[in-house]
Amino acid sequence: MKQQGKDLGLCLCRVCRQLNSSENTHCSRCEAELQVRDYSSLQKSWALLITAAILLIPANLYPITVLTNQGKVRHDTIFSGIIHLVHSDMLPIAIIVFIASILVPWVKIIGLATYLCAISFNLPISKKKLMVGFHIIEWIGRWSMLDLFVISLTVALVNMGQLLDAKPAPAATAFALVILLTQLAAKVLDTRLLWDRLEPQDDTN
Amino acid sequence: MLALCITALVFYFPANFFPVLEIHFLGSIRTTTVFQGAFAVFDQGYWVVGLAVLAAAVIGPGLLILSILSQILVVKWGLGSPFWRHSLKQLLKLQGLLSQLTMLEIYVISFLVSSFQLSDFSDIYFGMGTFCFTMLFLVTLFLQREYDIEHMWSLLMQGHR
Repeated sequence: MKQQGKDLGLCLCRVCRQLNSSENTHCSRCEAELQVRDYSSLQKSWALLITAAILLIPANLYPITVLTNQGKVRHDTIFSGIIHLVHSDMLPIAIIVFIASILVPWVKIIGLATYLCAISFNLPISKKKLMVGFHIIEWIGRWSMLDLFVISLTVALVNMGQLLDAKPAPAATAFALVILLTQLAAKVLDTRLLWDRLEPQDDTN
Repeated sequence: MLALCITALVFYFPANFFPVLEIHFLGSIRTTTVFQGAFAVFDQGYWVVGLAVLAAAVIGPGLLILSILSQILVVKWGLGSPFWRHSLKQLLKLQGLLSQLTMLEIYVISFLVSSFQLSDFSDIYFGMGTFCFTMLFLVTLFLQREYDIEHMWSLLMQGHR
């Protein structure tokens, strides 16, 4: 039988990762407030995740850039921008943009939803795999920012009126919020909740 | 660490205020800097996007470098006074947030992506800022590898016991 820190009377500080005795109310090192488990974080995380999932719809449906090229105006959504890149023989760039702005947000939202479901509804999924997945999600989430950086560079660079002009469009805000909210959802969640919830079913994992 | 910090600071200002990309289109030349990039989006009314770019590419790295620099200075000379100990503690608590906010590596890739995207219509050249920004990224990368937060905490706690 594996022992948990909770049973030994130990508690990890979420701010500085110092081990404390569970009797302390504040961390002995950084003086932040200690909580053995933060149950409310699950609800916060769900709320942020659902908001992000809703925002993902306008982020994909509305145009993200408006490009004027010699009088012709083109509205590009995230997806049509990638299609355009494929057609102009820039497959590697298209793949990078595809991963950063379509794959990563979807994987992140689905992955976090699985993770939260596993905690909320006691799904029998291996804890180890979930934890590895969670760390991957936390790390790849940053890469969605790529699209926003590209937009900001393009908009600043290309401003020649009717000849050639790029402007951001409504989806950019939605997309920025999706990134922000999913990162917050991952950050706010107390991952220690997972370790308790699955304990009765599979000790070996 | 101190040397890396100072190198990073030296690269920080040219990286943000020197032109990173240059576009030659029908004879007219436009340049942009990282800083202008964030403000251009801001001016168009997309302030959420502008703020995100500004935070991740300009403010984040700047604060990170300054924070590590002041931590080193405090550890070297200021551990005696309670005020400096207190500020070091606050800085260490913020360290996690700052390193998450810093997205230099992504910005470097975005130079490449946007230059390829725009090369469809026109000629694109990299400016001095690109070099400085890439150097800033590399130096910060090594700085973050050298930096050990547990070591910093133990240095802070040594005086107490």
